[in-house]
Amino acid sequence: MNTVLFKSWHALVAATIVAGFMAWSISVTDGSMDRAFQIGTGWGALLLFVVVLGYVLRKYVHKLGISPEFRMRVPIEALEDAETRLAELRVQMAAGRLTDEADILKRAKAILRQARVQRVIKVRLEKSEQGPRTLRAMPTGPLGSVARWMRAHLYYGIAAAVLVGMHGGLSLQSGMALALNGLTLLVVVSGLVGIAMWVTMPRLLTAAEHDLSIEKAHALRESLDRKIEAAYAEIDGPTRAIFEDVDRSPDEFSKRAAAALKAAPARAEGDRSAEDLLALLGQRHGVQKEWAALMRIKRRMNLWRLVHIPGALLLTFAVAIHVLSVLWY
Amino acid sequence: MSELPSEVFELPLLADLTKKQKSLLEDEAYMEVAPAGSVFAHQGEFTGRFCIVLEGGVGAYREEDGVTENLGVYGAGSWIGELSALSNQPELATLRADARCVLLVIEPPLFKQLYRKHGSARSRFQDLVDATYRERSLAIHLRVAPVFRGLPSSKLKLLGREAQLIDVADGDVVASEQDQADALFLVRTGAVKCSATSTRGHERIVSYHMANSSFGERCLTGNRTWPGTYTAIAPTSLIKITEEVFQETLASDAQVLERLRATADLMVAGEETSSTSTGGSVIDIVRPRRPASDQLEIMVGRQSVKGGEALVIDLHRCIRCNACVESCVSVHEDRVPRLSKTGTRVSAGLTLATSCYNCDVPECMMACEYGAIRRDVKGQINFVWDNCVGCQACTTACPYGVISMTPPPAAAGERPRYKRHWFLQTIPFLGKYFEGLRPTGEATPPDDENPLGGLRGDPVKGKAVKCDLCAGLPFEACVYNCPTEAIGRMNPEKLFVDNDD
Repeated sequence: MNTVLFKSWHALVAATIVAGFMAWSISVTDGSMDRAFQIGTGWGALLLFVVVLGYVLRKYVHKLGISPEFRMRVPIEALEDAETRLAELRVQMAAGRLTDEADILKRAKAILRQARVQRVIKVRLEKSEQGPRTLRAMPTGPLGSVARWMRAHLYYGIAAAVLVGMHGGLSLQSGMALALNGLTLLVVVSGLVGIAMWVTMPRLLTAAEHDLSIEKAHALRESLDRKIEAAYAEIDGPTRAIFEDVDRSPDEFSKRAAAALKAAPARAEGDRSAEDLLALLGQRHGVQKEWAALMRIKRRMNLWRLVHIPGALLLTFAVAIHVLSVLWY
Repeated sequence: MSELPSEVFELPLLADLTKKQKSLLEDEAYMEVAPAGSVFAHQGEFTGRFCIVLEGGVGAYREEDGVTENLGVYGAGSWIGELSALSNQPELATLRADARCVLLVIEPPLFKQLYRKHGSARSRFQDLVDATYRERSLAIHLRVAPVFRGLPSSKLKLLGREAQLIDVADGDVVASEQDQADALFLVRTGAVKCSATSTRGHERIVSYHMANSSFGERCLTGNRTWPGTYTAIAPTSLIKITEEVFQETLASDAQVLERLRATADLMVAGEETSSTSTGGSVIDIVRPRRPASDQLEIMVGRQSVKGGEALVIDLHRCIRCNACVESCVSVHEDRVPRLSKTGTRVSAGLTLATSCYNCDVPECMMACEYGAIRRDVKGQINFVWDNCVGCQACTTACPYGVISMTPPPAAAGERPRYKRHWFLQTIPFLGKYFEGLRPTGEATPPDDENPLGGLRGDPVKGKAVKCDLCAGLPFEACVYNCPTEAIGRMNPEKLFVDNDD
């Protein structure tokens, strides 16, 4: 089970926010009628909703190649210069000439500043397994990794749903209330199902992969397609028709293949093109079967997205209308 | 490449070359003019170049403890860079042209051709280079061995004078299990495997020793035997210092000998502890569902395990969303992914992604005749775009198939510009229906013959590319964009920790 998906300080922040609003709801006599509480939960949910959408934004700015981080690129020469000087610092550390941690970090940061690479590299002192500290240089990652955003998405999404519930009192009477509460519930539940899938299914998929991973099966299938196409080109028309018929019906492949070989017109002695083609077809059926089984698991793992993504798009639209109408009127 | 003057072949170092070697030299070596005062190699830099001074003089300056020492001035007929070329070591000193110099530059692949033995006999080139190596570099090279760290240069010089330089062939046994440990070895090039017989009676890998790694410190610690059988797993060059040499050379300095013994004691104690634990320097095979040892053998044989951290995918976390490959594509303007998930499965839940290992002995670098591949100070292998001619020698040489070719540039001297993904293509589930709108010039998708995609094998030549760890950017795209933290960098040695014995 991938528990990494749950380990985050965002859980604490989200829980604190929810606890704060719950305490507030207890302190007011009728939460759904208290204007300040309504506005507070509304803005709170909206802010959390924006953070939740931040995950999608973060993912797509990289996917589309428009992340501001791409413009932070520094020349390789500057990086090499910094690395050379950091290596010298490490030599001094190893020789015991530099021992004060604060001093080492100060020097390392000065090197990064002088080489003008501080935007892309940061330094940290780490205790190695052998004992002595090591000066480690690592990327700064200013926007934060997708995994971090993913966890924020998860916890703030749940918190936003709780706040939406407090805000509207889980009312389903008006169209807008039905849309907002219903869609929130739909998105949160599908999201939780998704998390459960992502946590448990990779192990199942890996176990099902045996000797052929899903990527290799896919590549192998495409390669066999090409080889079969080339093999078909080498045999005559009537034989091709017989084999294409065998290929179309994967059940009882061996039996049908043997029959097809007998039925095929006579060939010159030593011509094994038909046998080679049948071997390739057999291989493709095997790979196809394995690939299809793996794809079934993969599709199941991502089925929840069919509900979650359209639901989230509709919810965004409904929230936008709700906020605009509240501000307008 | 300029034509070499005939006097070059009269130099003592080159006079006895074979006809074939001379022809190679003529074809591949080149002359370089260094103006007075110019620095052409910095201390600590990986160059791998071997240079013969034809005119002028080169000064070698080594900085140590804040003090710069002049190691000597090398005039016409002398040579520099033998340690770098032999052992892939960083330059020991900064090399500066004290006067205008003309140098004959020999790149690593050619150096290896010239240094090669002719049958069983050593060549004059080999003898002369080794003699210089022994005189100038051996003492400094010995410091690589942990046991010698901090030993005064004078003592190292004494040891170096008596050390033997030996060559062993692939498969040769250097020392046998249970024999008396009688010498300390330092690997110059190649690799040595130490294997012991386990309690169950099968061979168990205790450790691997690659270039600049030492073994046999136990010879200093009294009556001890070898912990396993040491076998060369590639043609290997070793420095051997016998126990007698230690005794004789350092006999007059009991304090130094005592210090060496104390350090060796500590190292042997550590070795023995780690050989019974699952961590440390012991590399063994874990939960092998397929012969992972073969992969390790290849990786170690090619010294990849020492190169850098490998890209590993935890399949129990990976949701197969392909974000790693897609993000790799988005940061590279040629849109050729530098990694493929169709790597080698090393255990039930871990896959070694097909991505550059920055091998310690990079075969791509050795194969490149155009100086387009170099190693930076971090040990990372980088491609120099402008020098690459698209000959594909590196793609053939790479044992892991991690080098791809980009599409050719639109016009000579221009880098290709490609459109990024269309927004429509990024929509979940529906994106594939817009694939037909793929911009022209985009790389071909990966397949089993070419797991990285790209245009390998395409008749029109492009440029060679491989994982550059997103150099210059504040992130490593594949790791940074994985939603489940399934992909990460890991020391390959840790992949092969024994749970078996």
